[in-house]
Amino acid sequence: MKILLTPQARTLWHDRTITPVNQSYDAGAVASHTLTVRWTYTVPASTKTFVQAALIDILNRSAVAGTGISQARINATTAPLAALAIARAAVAHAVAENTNHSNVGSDILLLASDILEATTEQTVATTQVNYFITAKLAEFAA
Amino acid sequence: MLARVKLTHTVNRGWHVDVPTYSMIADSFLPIIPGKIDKNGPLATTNPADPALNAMTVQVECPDNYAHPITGKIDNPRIRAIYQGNPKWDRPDYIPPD
Repeated sequence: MKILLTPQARTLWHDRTITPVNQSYDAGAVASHTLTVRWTYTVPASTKTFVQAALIDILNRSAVAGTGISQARINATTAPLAALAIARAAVAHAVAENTNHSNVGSDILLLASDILEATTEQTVATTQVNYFITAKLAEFAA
Repeated sequence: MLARVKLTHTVNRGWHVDVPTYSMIADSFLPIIPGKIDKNGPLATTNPADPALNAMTVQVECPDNYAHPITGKIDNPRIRAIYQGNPKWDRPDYIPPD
């Protein structure tokens, strides 16, 4: 005897009720600093989240002596994997107006308890850097 | 919800706020201590164990459903309900930053 199971019809994620989420850090003339998590997003229980876009843009405002970099990262932690950088941008301090950017334009699916977080780090004293780090997320019931 | 909270430091994550979801508000670190804490955080030359950093706070934007309806503070039972089953956040001994 055959038992046929008909899958329950479910609408595609983009046709369900979506909660848009935007995580962002936009700061100008930031002084040197150690590793700092500027924003983080954890997927709630019974939820899935698409990362629709992730963008980093940084600008070195003036040239200074000394070695070192300023960098910003967006990391995704999807269990059981450790944090993985999905976007990173860095500038060298010897060049004024040095800019760098990183874009992720494709969807990344995060499951409940997965984490997306943005960090900055700036190693040389006397530097001033502008940071813009943002992600557009679409949250929906799993 | 907007909240002014203390920060945590670990080797792996550096300075961060111990809640599941937040965004730091630019230029909101307090107190500003020349040579140690700037408006966007501790300077690279500041030792994370420096006692001057104990009073350091930052303003963050968190999801509105974190807030206790009466106190307005980040609430443990609400965080546990939102992140049910998460080994880090669904814990009775988790104390939200104040």
